[in-house]
Amino acid sequence: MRVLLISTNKIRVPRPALPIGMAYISAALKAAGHEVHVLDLLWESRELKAVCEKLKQTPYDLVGVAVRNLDNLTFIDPIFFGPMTHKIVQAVRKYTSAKVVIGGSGFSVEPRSFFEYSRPDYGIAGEGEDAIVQLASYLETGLGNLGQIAGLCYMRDGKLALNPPSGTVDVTRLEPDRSIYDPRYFEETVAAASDLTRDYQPAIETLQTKRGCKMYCSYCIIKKTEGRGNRFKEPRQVVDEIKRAMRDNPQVREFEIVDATFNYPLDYAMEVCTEMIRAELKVPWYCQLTPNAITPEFVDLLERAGCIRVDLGTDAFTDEALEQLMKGFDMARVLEIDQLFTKSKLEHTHCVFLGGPGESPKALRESIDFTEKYLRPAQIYANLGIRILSKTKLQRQAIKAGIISENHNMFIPTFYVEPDTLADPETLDYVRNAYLRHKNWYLWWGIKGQRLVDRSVEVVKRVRDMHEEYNYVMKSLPRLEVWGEADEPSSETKLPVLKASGDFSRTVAQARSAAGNCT
Amino acid sequence: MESVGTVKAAVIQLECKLSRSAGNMKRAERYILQAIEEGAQLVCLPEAFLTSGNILEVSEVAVTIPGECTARLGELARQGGVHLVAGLLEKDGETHYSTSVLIGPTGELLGKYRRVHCFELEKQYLATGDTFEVFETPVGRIGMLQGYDVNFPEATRELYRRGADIIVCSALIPEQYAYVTRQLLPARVIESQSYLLFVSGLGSNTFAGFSYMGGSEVLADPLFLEQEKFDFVDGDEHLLVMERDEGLRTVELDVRRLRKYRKERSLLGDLEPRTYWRETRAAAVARLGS
Amino acid sequence: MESMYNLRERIPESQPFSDINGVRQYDLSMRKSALMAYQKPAKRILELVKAGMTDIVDVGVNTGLLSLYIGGKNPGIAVSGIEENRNLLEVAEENLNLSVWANTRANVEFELGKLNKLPFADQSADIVFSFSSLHMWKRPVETLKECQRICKPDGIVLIEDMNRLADEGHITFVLQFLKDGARDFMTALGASYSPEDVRQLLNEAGLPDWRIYEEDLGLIVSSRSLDL
Repeated sequence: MRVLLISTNKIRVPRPALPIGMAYISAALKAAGHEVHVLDLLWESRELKAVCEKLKQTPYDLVGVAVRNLDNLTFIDPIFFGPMTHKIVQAVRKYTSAKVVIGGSGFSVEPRSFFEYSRPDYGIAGEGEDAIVQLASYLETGLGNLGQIAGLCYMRDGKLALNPPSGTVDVTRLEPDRSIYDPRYFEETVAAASDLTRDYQPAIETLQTKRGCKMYCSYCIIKKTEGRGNRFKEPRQVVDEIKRAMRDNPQVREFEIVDATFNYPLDYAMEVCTEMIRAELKVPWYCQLTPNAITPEFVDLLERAGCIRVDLGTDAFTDEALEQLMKGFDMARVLEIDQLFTKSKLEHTHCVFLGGPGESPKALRESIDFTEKYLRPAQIYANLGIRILSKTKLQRQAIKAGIISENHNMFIPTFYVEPDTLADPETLDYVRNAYLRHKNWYLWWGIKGQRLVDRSVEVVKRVRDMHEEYNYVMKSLPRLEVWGEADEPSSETKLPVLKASGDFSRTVAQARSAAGNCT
Repeated sequence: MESVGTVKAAVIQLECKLSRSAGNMKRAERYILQAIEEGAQLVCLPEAFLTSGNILEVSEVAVTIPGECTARLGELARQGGVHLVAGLLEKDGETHYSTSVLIGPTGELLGKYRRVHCFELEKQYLATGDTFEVFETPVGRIGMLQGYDVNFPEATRELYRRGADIIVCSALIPEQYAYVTRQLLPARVIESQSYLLFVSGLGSNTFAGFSYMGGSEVLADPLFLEQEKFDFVDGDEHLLVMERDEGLRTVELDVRRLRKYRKERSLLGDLEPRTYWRETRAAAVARLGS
Repeated sequence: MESMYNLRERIPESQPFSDINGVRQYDLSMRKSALMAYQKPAKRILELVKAGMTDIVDVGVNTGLLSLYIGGKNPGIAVSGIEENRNLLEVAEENLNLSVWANTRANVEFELGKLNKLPFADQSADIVFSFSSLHMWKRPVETLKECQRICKPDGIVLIEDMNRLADEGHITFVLQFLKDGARDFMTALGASYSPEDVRQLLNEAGLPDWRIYEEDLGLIVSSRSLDL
């Protein structure tokens, strides 16, 4: 079959991420003998036009749309990517007779809503390497059974069938098809505005050492996208893959391990580092770590293996939020780890959410004082609020906190910001001032221009508009019943009421409702 | 005023034949009836559709407004319950204009636009209009232009400031200007954040030996179309492009959605009217020769 | 008897009148030396005109000469001609423009259109005629149906063209007047229908009652009986 894969990711911060998911899918399809073409919309300023032109050039049998994120996960500047995907599906319908399949982590987190909204022929939730090949084979030969393709979403007897994902792809046999990467990813560029530690960003390659995660963070959906438990590559395989990637693309200077959490479990991460040292890899690299599983020995290994910077999934700077997020460590631990890295040659960045569950105004202010006083990271990368996704503990907390209703549609950007904190303009100012004061603290590129409370009011309108747009599209689409499931009312999206922002309490109320976009 | 939703507009790319008013009218009527049958709510004809661009004989061929021709158009509009825009050479006493009329579904003349911009040769035969009015109708706020106006951003800007949703540019433009006209249209529609119906006549001017360009188009701001349902024809600004044959085409215009877009992206707040037109015409013209 | 001309099988013309200069030449030669060919059809149509008629339609106007003639004689009746061939239409328009310039009071209009989808309302024409066009119709059965559709119940359809199997004497007679045009004439004749062919077309169109007459080189199809 001739397959076109379209990568729809538009997020460029902290740096444009290589579309590794699409590369895995490409590798799987090519291994099964299919012809693969790609279109990477990150590099297109007019995405739909690019799609149209690509579709007109060559006839395709199957078009795969890779969706990395539902939205940009940023409460203070939410951008929803659903509409673009929906229009791409329409473009494929208009210009070709190809079947269209949507996949990727962005699809996997909300497969039902996503399918209902964008109406592809198929969707694949969870890992797609096996499913896409089985689907292509089914489309080509008519053989096989759609009901047995793990994670496949499709129309069956007029209803939407949602096969459960299996999370069993054999990672030892996976290697992304790096030939599909646009050469522009490998141009040395000025570092992104959000990258405060360096001026230039050299060309990098990325890789995964494993799939799945065994942690229990309350907001996370990685079990939906990669599956629970861990499946590992042999450390030797990891090193070989890096070597091959660097040999095939001489522009590459550094690499990044893009496991959500490289050091969990710690034993395996240490084995990988040891193998890098043994193989004398000598290539600078970076990774994301949980403070949970860091020892002086591991930091030493990282250093010797060539690691130059780590992003720490610290997630919060208060004991209250750390506990609620089920991170499994406290601030004492954060301080300990911070000091450990400060002493090392490695640069470390704390990635945190502000206003997470339990983070009261008082706690948030104190955390800022604490951070200023005791922590010495190369950079802090912060986000106000946390994206709430379906079937997470965070969703239940948000319902309990009155941020969202029981049947709130989680498909559209929805965030948890601790209501008391969001309703406290002075605390928000306090946060803003701190982030403006520290050159290596990053919250949002636009905070110089406005107060966070004003921004929140603005966000209410934007999110309200997203709901309106969603309803506008859904108006012409009948709701889909789920195959093999007793009828349950599908989630409806209610419009938050927008009142004229006159007095202050009302402004605060709006800011508050912006967090969940409807109360 | 009830809120405006989607409007089905019909573009009649008529061959406007010189000295053949009866035949032009006959074919126009036929297309209007066809448009009505296809469910159009707004039906548009080219500039000077009845007489073609016969300015040399304008005193003989121009019609009064209202008059026999607008009465017949009114009858058709009433019959189909449609709004109708048509370009006519207008006679008002001893003065002549190139005029577009807007006729409502009751058959009454809702308004007219006398072309403001005339080129030098035309000015020996035609007087110029002095206002850009926008007409509030159930199918949206309608502004009218004629072919030569597309050279002047001021014209669309005026209609934009007056809130036009749909600009009907009835045109009859010599083929030699086809290229530049096609270049100008996207700019005019982007800066006016409206729907632009360029309703362009065909035919040849037997006095002067040139043909009219046809090539009618319906355009909208590409950023708006990108946001909308996937319905443009070229991935850019076109909802409709016609070639060189006479004919009728219809297109759906979502005025409600356009208004929403215009509200989000309005340029009005950024206009700086005090800085414009401070140079006198005389000084600008004087500089041409130096 | 063995035929002088090989006309047994109908051979449709592949691209008739595909060169504008050729069409102008043809038109000029018709106007200079063959106006006679229009005499009989013109007379027949004029005899059908009655008071109160409003519309005459010419299906396949050719270079427009017959419509201009009919229109000129009946300024109160709109004569509308449809032609499918761009070159023929262009020359017809040239002829019409000259006639307008010369202040003919005729109400004649020509336009490009598909003959199998005539742009006229049902039962809107008093007389539907066609001259020297039938052999070029792309979908003759459809066009015959269209003629029937647009003709008023008390109107008439009158279609005249050459008869491929006409008596050879008539062919020889015409050929002696033609010099350069002889070859084109024979090609057109070869593309023309025989009475039998036309009967079959009429049957396919569901018009078995229509009449077919032969007259010299011509073939006349009429929706009503004619007094020839």
